[in-house]
Amino acid sequence: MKRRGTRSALFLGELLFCLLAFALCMTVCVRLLVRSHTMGRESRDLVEAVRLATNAAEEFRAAPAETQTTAQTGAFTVALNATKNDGLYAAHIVVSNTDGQVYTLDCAVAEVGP
Amino acid sequence: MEQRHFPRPDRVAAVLLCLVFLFFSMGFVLMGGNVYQKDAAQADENADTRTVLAYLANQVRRADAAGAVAAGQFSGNDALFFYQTYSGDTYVTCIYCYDGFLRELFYQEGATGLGPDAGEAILALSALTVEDRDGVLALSATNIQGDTALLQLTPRCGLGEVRE
Repeated sequence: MKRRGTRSALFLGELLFCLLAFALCMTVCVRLLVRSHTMGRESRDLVEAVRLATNAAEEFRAAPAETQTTAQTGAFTVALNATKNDGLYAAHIVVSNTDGQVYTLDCAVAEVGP
Repeated sequence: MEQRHFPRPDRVAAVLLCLVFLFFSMGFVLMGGNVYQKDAAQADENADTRTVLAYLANQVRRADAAGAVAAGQFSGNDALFFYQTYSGDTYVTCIYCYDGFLRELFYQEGATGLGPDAGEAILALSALTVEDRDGVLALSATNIQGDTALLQLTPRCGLGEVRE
């Protein structure tokens, strides 16, 4: 009877150990899943931000001028700050969302003579 | 009188532990599968539109020459036209969206009888709009899932006119 009780305790202990090991592995895997999800979202945000910054740069190239503009596109804010220096228009474009700055782009266009 | 047997407490505990193990492992597998499925689907949607816009941007930049890039209509669909001259003859590459696909059609200028289904299907796409906004070429692509992305391009040589 006593031997049977010891065997059962051993079996239960082994099961508990397996459960603990499983819980540990699950914690690591959940963290990996969350990280991959976050990275995927960040990647999508970056791609979108690059596209928006490129669009703003292309618009700026079409009609360069000293200007400061801010536009809201979906979840992103595109801020363009353009200055003129020695016949060169330079623009600093910042794309940000609620998490902060996502992408910045600097570009310049030479002034076309009359 | 028959004696009633109750399960031993250690056996009950073992079975309960096994059930907890099963419950958590099933839950974890289902959750992991769900997250992976969502991420993969979103990545696919993102890639579809990005591929189309990257393809169009490359075509415009590759063909950028005086009067070589034009925005217009082909058989009632918004289209991009690229003109190239080979051995004195002008050839046209026309890119448009028709019947759920982005299509490309290459023909000699002046060719007649070409319908929208003559173009080579390149990528699945729901809609494409092409606009000339004061020298800025605005390309708006809508993928099969209905997501729309806008790309603006300013060709260095400007936009030309569509030739009949």
